[in-house]
Amino acid sequence: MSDPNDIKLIKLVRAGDVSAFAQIIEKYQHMAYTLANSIVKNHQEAEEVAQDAFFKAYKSLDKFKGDAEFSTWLYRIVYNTAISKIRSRKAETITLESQEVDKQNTFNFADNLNRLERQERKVILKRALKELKEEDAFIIILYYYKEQSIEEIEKATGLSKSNIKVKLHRGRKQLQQTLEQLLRTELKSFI
Amino acid sequence: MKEKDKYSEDIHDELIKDLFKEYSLEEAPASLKSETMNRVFSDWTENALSYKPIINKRNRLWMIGGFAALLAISFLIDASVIIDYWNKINVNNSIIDLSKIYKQMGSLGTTMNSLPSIIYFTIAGILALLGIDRFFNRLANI
Repeated sequence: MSDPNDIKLIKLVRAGDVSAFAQIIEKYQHMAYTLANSIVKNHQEAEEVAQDAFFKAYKSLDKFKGDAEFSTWLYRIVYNTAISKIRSRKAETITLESQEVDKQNTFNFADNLNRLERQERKVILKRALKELKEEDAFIIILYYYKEQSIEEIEKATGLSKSNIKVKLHRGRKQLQQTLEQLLRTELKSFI
Repeated sequence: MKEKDKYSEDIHDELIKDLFKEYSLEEAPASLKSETMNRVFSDWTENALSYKPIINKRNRLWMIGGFAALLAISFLIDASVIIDYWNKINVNNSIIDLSKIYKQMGSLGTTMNSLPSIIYFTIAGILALLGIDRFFNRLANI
């Protein structure tokens, strides 16, 4: 079910009060921008994608039935717009070399994370997310930050459940590896 | 081995969950909202200027005819025209002898018989207006 406030705003926009759409943008702009940036990995392009996504949402507001969350519907538009953007520029994504992670590393990883200050952990996570593959970062943010279920992510991306699980697993593994690398560099700079 | 992997994965999952508790969204630039709203307003203005008829051309013709007919019935024909027409066709009053009906209705019949004809025409007019209103409401939903 959609947020009643969202439904109210959508009804106003449909009735011709387009200024109500500004409130929708206000509410979702940061999430849309973050998700767009997780895919395009470029601030300027992320803004373009978020703008396009909001405009597309406005244009197809009549198609929104209200049986799903408005946010999920919007994130799907952001996702599709961002994917189209990266396909059009045909950029090569940077992937980190895969490394074997053993149990010992896991403990180091946890210990090292605890050594960092809250603000530093925040920065490190943002940097690590940038290193992830486009779709993986998008899914990781929805899963861990928005705490969405696999079913909700399925609606937001249009990907199959098994595909989401694979990407989630891969993303989590890669995120951990990237965090490890960044932590090592960070800690070396302290020593 | 599988159990070890599962264990390791669960630890990573928990660590990442913890890490995301401190995560904050990236701040969208102010231009995002203003630029998007500019596009929305511009699109709204363009669409507001273009006229899209609700009723198509095909329906419009018979609607005009129907409307003209209704006008003729409701405004052009007054009571005197109807009375004249009634007298001209010289209807045999015995066929529809209302006095018998009035007698059977008792005091109510006497009251109805004494009512001036204008009341009947007014009621007929109100019913006609209600009918026209209903007709146009239906047309509006075509």
